Amino acid sequence: MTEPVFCVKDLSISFKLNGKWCQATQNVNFDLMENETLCIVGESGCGKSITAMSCLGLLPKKKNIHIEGQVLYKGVNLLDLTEKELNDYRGDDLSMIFQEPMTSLNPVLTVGEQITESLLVHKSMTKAQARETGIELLNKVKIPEAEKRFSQYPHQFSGGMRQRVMIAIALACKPTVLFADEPTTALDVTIQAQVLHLLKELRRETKMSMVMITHDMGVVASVADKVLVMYGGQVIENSSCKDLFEAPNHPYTKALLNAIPRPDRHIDHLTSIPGQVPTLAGMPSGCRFSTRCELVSDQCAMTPDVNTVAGQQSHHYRCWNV
Amino acid sequence: MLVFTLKRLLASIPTLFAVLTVIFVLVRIVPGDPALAVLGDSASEEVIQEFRKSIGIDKPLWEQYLVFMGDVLQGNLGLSMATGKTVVEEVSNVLPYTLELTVASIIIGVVFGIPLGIFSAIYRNHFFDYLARMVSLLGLSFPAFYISILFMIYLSVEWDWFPVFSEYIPWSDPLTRLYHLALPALSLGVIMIGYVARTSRSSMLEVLGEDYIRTAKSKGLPRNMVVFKHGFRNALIPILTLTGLYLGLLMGNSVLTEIVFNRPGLGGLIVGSLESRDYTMLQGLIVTYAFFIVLANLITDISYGLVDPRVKNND
Repeated sequence: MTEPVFCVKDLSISFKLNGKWCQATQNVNFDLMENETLCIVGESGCGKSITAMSCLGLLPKKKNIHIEGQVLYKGVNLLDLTEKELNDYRGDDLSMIFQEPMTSLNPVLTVGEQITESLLVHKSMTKAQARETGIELLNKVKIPEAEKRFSQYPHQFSGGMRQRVMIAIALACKPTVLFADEPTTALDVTIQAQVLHLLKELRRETKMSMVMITHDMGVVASVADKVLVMYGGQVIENSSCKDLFEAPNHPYTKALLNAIPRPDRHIDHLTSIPGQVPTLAGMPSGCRFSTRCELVSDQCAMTPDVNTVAGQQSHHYRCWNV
Repeated sequence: MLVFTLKRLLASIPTLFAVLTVIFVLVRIVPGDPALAVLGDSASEEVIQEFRKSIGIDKPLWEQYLVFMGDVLQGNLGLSMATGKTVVEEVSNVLPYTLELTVASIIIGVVFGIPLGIFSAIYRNHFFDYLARMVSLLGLSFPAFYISILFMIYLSVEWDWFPVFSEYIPWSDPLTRLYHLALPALSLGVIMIGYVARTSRSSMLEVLGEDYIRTAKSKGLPRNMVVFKHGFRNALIPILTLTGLYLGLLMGNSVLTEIVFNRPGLGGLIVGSLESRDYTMLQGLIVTYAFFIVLANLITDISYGLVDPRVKNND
């Protein structure tokens, strides 16, 4: 079997809130093979974005943030590197697309400047070469009149176009791993489909691996090879995309899938999961989903083990009652 | 850019008209008869009527307004009641002194205040930040005249580095003129440093928390590039606005500074005309101040266009 390109081992991130340490993620593990897409799903506040941010070393190195575990890229633990050393990887081998296209671009610099920046820094291109590559990238993300658009400012672009620009920026140096943090959440549905399609196409072309964070099961179904379902900072189920949709194990995954409105089911109201994600400070001991679970029993006061589904090597879940 | 500048220029004309109207009304609603103020209680009715006619306040209000506006537009602010010279002549004699003082202290404030604020934002909660915040707090909390007096006592009287009093010095001797300008400009500049540094710090802190800074970091750009290329230009926008606004504050403080240093300037003129109840002079001075404040706003507006592409293109 080939080595994974990117690998997260026992990643735990804690924040100090009001003098108390709270765990935002606990022992997150995943492997990413070449040209593979991993989706991380879960409700807001379950630790998805934090995980991605720490993969690029974007969490500030402060006394009130504590990170444990390993983030391995080609065998190098990124968590051990200084900011300066990290900059050799960020934007070059590893890059990221963010959720908010409206605010993620710098308003006072032209789109061209923002795309070519990483080319100038990482690939030591000349300005002319970078410009050529930049226009090529704009064409690739299907921005019409790329030449003209290259020297325009972000406010002259619509939301969907800005997200395309963000994608162009992220792809500029041909990254090996692309992190996409809810890249379609802020866009309207038709644009969402276009952006997803674009990402899939680009992935096929460049052979890159992708970690996509989303809470949209529809997105998962259309792009993912592997899925990581997170709840309250823990991975509660991980499996291949196919297995997850065909035979979900964890009650939370089932509830999430159930919450998707489907045209073939005639119902009066949308299904939802009662209650809210517990806050970092108010995490229940034992199974973290126990406060909202239908199958809750006495056992759930203890932390459930990670179980492997019989016959499916890479399908794991954390639950007592399956 | 040219079109943008012209548009801004045109837009400031109505502002100027409104300001002039307000000044006209203000001067008219001040209680007391200027004729009585000038001629005294014992003046006969005839003399009073004669005087009113001579300065044009016997006419109906709308006519006075038209005459006033017409005069101002032609650059005629009337005759000083105290000296008999034209107000324009009196003002333009001392105006360069006030302008050079104001401009010099803005330059001092910007040159020292912006770096101070920016670095204290970058090194937030480190030693340098505390030091810089203390310096700017000092600038903010000392009244202008107090700083002026302190500077004068130590730098001029004790150590004899600077002249104690300023005087009229012709432009033909620029070095001496600059030498006399130094201390007053410094004492006003210290206040500006305080304001500008505080604004720069908070503006930079806000910008450093923006999403596009995270994007810049995720591109693996060196720290200096993230802070200066991506951060600083964005932080500059609010800094410009507030520096423009502080100009009004500076003009007020310059009056006190000029008096403490006995510098020629609008300050001395204001105090003089208040003492002698020289209404036309006062009115002319307010018009002058208003004109420069509108001008400062215009310059601020135009400089936005240079820094922020959104302003230029939306127009």
